[in-house]
Amino acid sequence: MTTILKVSDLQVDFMSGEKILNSPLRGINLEIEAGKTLGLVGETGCGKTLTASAIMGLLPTTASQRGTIEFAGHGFLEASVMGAIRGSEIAMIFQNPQSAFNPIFNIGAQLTMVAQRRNIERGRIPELLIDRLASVGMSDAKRILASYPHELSGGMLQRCMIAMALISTPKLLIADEPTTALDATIGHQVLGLIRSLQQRQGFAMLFISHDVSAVAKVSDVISVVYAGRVVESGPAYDLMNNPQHPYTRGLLGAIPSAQKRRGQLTAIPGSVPSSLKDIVGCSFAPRCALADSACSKEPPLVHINQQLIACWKVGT
Amino acid sequence: MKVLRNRLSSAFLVLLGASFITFTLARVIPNDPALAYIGPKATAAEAAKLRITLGLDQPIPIQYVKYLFQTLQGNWGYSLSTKQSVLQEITSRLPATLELITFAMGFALLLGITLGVYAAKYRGRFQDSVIRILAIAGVSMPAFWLGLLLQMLFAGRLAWFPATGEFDIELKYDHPITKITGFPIFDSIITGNYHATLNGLHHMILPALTLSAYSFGLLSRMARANLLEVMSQDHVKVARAYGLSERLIFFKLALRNALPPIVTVTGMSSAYLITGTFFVEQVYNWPGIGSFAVNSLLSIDYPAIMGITLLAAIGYLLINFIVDIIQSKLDPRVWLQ
Amino acid sequence: MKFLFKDKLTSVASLILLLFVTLAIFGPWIAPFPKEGAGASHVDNSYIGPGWHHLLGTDELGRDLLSRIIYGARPALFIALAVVGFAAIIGTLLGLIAGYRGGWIDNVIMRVSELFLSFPSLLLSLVAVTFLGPGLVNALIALIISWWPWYARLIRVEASIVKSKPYVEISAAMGVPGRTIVLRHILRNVTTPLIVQIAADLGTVILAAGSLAFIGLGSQPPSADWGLMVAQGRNLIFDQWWISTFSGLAIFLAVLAFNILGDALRDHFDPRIARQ
Repeated sequence: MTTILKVSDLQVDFMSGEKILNSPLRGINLEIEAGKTLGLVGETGCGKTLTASAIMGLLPTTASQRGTIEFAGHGFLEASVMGAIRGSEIAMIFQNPQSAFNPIFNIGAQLTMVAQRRNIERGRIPELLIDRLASVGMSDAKRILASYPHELSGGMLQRCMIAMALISTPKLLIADEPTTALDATIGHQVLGLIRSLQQRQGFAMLFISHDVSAVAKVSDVISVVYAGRVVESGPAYDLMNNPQHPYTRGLLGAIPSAQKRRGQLTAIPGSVPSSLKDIVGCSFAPRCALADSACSKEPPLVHINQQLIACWKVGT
Repeated sequence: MKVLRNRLSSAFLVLLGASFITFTLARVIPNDPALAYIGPKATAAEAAKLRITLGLDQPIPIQYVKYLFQTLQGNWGYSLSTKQSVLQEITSRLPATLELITFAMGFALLLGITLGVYAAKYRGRFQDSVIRILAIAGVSMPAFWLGLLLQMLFAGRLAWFPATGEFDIELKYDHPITKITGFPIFDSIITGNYHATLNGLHHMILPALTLSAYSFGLLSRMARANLLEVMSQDHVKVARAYGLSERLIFFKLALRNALPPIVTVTGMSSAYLITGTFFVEQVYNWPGIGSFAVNSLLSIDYPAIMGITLLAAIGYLLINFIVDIIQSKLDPRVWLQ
Repeated sequence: MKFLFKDKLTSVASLILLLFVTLAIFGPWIAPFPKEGAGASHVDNSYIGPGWHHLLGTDELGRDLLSRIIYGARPALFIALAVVGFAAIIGTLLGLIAGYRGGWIDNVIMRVSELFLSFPSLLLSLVAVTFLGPGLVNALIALIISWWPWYARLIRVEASIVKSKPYVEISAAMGVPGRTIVLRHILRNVTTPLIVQIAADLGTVILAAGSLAFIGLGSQPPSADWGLMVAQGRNLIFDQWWISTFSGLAIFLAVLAFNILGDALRDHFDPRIARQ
């Protein structure tokens, strides 16, 4: 299986001149194979979206990046190369479809702009757009193309965004919280749509969400992020049924589900550390029931059975 | 169309209100209009007779209603100072002022939007600071002072521009302008009288620049702020994620988004343009409504004052109405409310 | 308070403002020729250009221009504070009444406010002062008349928003009197835009008052009013340029300072819209 995306030890600091203001990413490791989905899970603010921005090459100028990102065999990607790849080989869909579209232009105009960027012939664009809209389940394409964003519902806009992402044939789709802003039923539909499109077109997907159950439904592999680091990663089934890392355990224990009706929902005590740059040792230790003196050193991400874990207290 | 009807009815109410305010102020506050009309030397008997003739002995509400009817019929009264029909005074002076306002607005829009966009593009750098200082200075300058300064410097010391008037006096004999629309510079262009056009433009520059300063400041600050805000919105990030060039994003996407509020500000700033003409025309001896207004105010020429007030209200409403229409074309979210 | 000196421009503006207030309060003790500042003429000295003895020159009645300008700070500041103060108070009261009571009072107050606002405000002031008669106090009244509607509308809008918020109902259910809640929340929400607007308005009023005076409808001679002084030097602008130039400069600098500080205040309270 070919690896489409490999992120090794990605670290990002926000700088002010020479001084480090914050270190939101302290060690991200991901590997996505062609046609597969990796679900990135973690609390809000743990660095998931920033990881996506880094992969797209869209970090703000105040950010300083270390580590490597390899995409489809390309090594470090320069800005100029990224410009061509962005939107064509890697496409991204965003959390808030209402604000993701420009309110002044209609959907057709915006999709056309993307198509023109991909150097598709003018004449072929309308039929291409209609085709794409049909593939996301919107048969009334002409009306949609003429509509303005404020005239469409969240679910419809999200479908339009997916259509926009698929104008080219991307090798990787990054989906950043695509269903978070939608109603539960609509979100479910969109999720199903994304999954079926993936099966048909064969793109790899990086699915980012704080909703573990959504991630579990679409992912082949799941990586759990805490305080800017991947702390556990493994095949979806294994991770969901046999979580190793204390944080993952806590996270999964907090999911309401029909099976657990009689048990209590667990809440992880404490809260995410606010200043990430000053963390010494394991970032989860202050909240961990298993923490001891060994945890004053940062645990490395190691292979244990099928999974990658960053914890002293697991395995061996 | 229902929206149109609503707009018209609210506009009508505004005009009604404006006339009512002016009327009330004129009658309620002590200043005997009859005496003002015939001068202080009249005897009490003459004043009394005049009061009856002018209808001033009747109760105020009746006077107001009579005034309304007369106005709607086109009788705007007679100026106490020039003894001419107020409507005629106004219409004869309107073109000069309208041309001045047009040029001023043109300068303000052109310079304001261009420099505002430029400042946004080079945000934080030297060019940005300079433009921001210019803008805030423009908004802080008294129009009459700026006018005098420009006059002293460019007409007095440097003699690059004429100091006063709409045209050189000789122009009336050498290259008289044939009246077609009544707007001098415009007429001179369409009749091919380019001597007059150049002369008119030469005279127009200083007053128009003076008048434009405030609007320029307002517009450039608005343009810059809006553009920066739009650039930080989500859809710009999305556009970048799809590989659209910074150039396309800035000049096409962001700019179009930033325009609607600018259009609104243009409408609002027209109020300053209207009242600004009072001062600018005074300083430059411009034969327009502004100088007529000031003279009317100083001589308490109340028919003229009411006429001018009404005119100003109509003008302001009209401009804002046009602005709203443009706005609805630019921004699909705006329904003509 | 530190933001007052956050960058060069704001610092300059704060200093100008400080100077302005100092002159307004201590003018008579600072001015080099206090009697002339107050209006005493010295006709032998007419039209002296700027120089060592008279830093800014003298005017048509031989009065030291610098002293006149210093004396002019007091009426300028006074008018600014008085107009904005009264307009804000009247406007706030009317806005509160309109917002809280609703009904026909609300309608009347709001219609009147909108009427006043859909009209070039300076024109209204000009007309009012024309019929009231020229003079500082009348100019004050005329300006207040055209200024209060903005405040009324701001407060009224805020009041109606707050009134319908759930926490008002909840507090009322718990026994806290409705009026207190509404007032407290309105004032809290309204403080920021109010302060920013007041700062900007102080500058705008000085500009408007100066304009009224320039036409001749404001303070009358021998008052040391900046606008009046510009008017007095108007016809002499080509030769005795200093009279109008420096008087107008005073207006410009005062208004500039208020505008810059108004901007700084707004940035301070609303850093969400990151500017630099």
